[in-house]
Amino acid sequence: MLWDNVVGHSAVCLSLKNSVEQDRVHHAYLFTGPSGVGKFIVARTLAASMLCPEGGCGECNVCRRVMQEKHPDVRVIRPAGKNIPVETVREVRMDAFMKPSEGARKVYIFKGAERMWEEGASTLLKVLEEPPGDVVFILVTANPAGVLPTIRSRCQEVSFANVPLEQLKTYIMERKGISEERADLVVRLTGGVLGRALDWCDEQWRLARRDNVIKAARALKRAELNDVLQMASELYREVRAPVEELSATYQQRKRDLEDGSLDAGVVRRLSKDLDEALSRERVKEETRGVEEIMTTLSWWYRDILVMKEGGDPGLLVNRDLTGEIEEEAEVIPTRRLLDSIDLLAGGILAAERNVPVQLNLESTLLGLQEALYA
Amino acid sequence: MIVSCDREKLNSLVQTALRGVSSRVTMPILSGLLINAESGELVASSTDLEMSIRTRVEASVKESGSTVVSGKLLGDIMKSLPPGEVTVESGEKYLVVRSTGGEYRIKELMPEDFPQIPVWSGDASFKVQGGSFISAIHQTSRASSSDEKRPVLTGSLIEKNLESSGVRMVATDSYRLAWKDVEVSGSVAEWEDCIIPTKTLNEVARLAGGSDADVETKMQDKQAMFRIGTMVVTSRLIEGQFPNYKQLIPKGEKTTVVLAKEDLVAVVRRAMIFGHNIRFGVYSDHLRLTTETPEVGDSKEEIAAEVSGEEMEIGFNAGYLLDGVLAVDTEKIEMRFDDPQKPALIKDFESEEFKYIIMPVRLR
Repeated sequence: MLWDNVVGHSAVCLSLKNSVEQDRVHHAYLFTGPSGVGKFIVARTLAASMLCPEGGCGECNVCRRVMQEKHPDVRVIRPAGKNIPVETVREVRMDAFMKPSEGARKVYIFKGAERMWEEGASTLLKVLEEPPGDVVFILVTANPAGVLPTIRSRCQEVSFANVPLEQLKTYIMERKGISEERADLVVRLTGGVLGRALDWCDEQWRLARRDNVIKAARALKRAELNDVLQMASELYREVRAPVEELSATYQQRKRDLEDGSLDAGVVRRLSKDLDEALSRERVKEETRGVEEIMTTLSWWYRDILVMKEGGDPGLLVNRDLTGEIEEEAEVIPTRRLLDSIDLLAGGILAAERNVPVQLNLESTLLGLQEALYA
Repeated sequence: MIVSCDREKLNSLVQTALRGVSSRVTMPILSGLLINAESGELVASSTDLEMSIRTRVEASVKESGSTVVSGKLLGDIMKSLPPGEVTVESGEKYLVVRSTGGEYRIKELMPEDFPQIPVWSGDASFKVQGGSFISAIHQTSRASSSDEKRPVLTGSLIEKNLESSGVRMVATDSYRLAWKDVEVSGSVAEWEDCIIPTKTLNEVARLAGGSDADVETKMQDKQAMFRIGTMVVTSRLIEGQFPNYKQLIPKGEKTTVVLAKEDLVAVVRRAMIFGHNIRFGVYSDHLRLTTETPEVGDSKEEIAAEVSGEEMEIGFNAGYLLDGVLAVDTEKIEMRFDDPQKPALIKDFESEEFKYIIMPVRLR
């Protein structure tokens, strides 16, 4: 069963599964929760369980196509560029009034549902107000406050919390075949966000980057201005590397399209879609990179703070670096640690507001040096 | 899959199925044709998710099987092959087309990814003579809306008429409405009234055009199916409530006008050159059509007509008026009016089969 493949969210899954079995499916859902936590997987699983005659067996052609986004009665709508264009919402409205192609129901999954301009949102609202009988909308968002209140009030809200650390740890140990110690570290560093934890397992460099970031932070104590700028530009390179890798992956996917099985026209349109997706992903990955660096540093100073104040060592996130944490706890005063954590929160905010990456890193490092050692 | 067939037949199979491939599809697999070979038949299917086409031809099947390949590529090569026998063979990755001396390979897509298309099973609900089905579509489809804000109006209602044991086709965009009663053979009792996208009906008319074969119709798996010879067109239905059109029909008790259709068409066409809205004057023995576009020009033309009842002046959108007049099937056209503020009726002369209702426009 597909429901069994979902990690965590057992209460949410159980209630959704029951509503499918008892034929009490709501016509609109709003899935909320941190990004990467598994909302979209649950959305697709819900869709498959509604269309599959076995309630989501995970084996049949219906389940396969739903999960691979190839089923004609399940449409996934993603933001194009920054937003979901109103034209797309109009198409959905038109399509919603057609009877399903194969099954008994049609499902529309909106990813990033908060990213709609007023016109698109009000078009969607119209459909939600008088939904055709066999249609189910699943709006997925990490930012429910950004969804129009009138839309929210017409959806059943399902909130997703982070997966409990122990459960996530067991899951990634099995799935990725890694040691308990490593799984423990990854789970702590990613705070129970499933998608992120899996990325950290697959992408070894993320752990290496954490080491580099902490090394840089420790070196701040004795660094000259030029050294700090040098460190910032090295960290900037670290942020850029996965972005470049992303471009390479997309280039490869574009080349794969041209293997001759599709018409030139279709290939052109799909490559254009890929280009758009790439430029979207690049911005996202870059912001994410900066955020991850800032978060790493926040956890680092938080760990030092915990140690300094005599907290339980079991609470440490960077548990593999206990020795280093002890050393730092000896020398940095509490007040300064608190200031540093505040400063990093500002850095994360700046990244979300599209402050240029290098500038943001430079000012954060210089700010930290000032706050900690001046 | 190994099949051989005459190039001519194979080409017409592929070209017919290609009519169902849309250029603006969202899923790559929909640019393909699904090819099935089974028990002496080669079947080609296509779909744009709104409408699907499934057509077959007799062929010698050495090995049954199915595959999906780019519709355009297969169509292009079939068109250009020399006459004679063609063999089609699917392998691991490629569909191989062999003709005298030539071998052409087309990369295959996964047939499992292709959306399911309902297969016609059992008997038809009713049959319509091809010509009268096509003309019914032509007569009504112009009145259908293309505004996606009201999805129901982008379709045509096909409704059973138990009294005459026929069906009625109705389309409207809320400015005008066209209806046509169609004679059918067979029973309409099983037919469920439904709204079919007008786009699909136009496509059915195009596909049926040329052949005078009957169009067989039935409802299956919540889809409407049309069978024309060896081809089956399946259409998804539009959900919703079609406007209650019967209460809109004008009585037309005050004034009746009868005149030759051709004459009126010519006059309206000339009047349209000078404005979008026609002032349509009805007098004791003639009509006067005037149009104007301020500071550009104006037109005025009189035409003899048999008029009974009150004289009046009423305004019409010229394009909508022309659509209605053109759709009339008889040499003479009959028009009926109640009031300049109320809808008018355009119909076949001395027949109730076709009716066109048009809303008036306000005149300055």
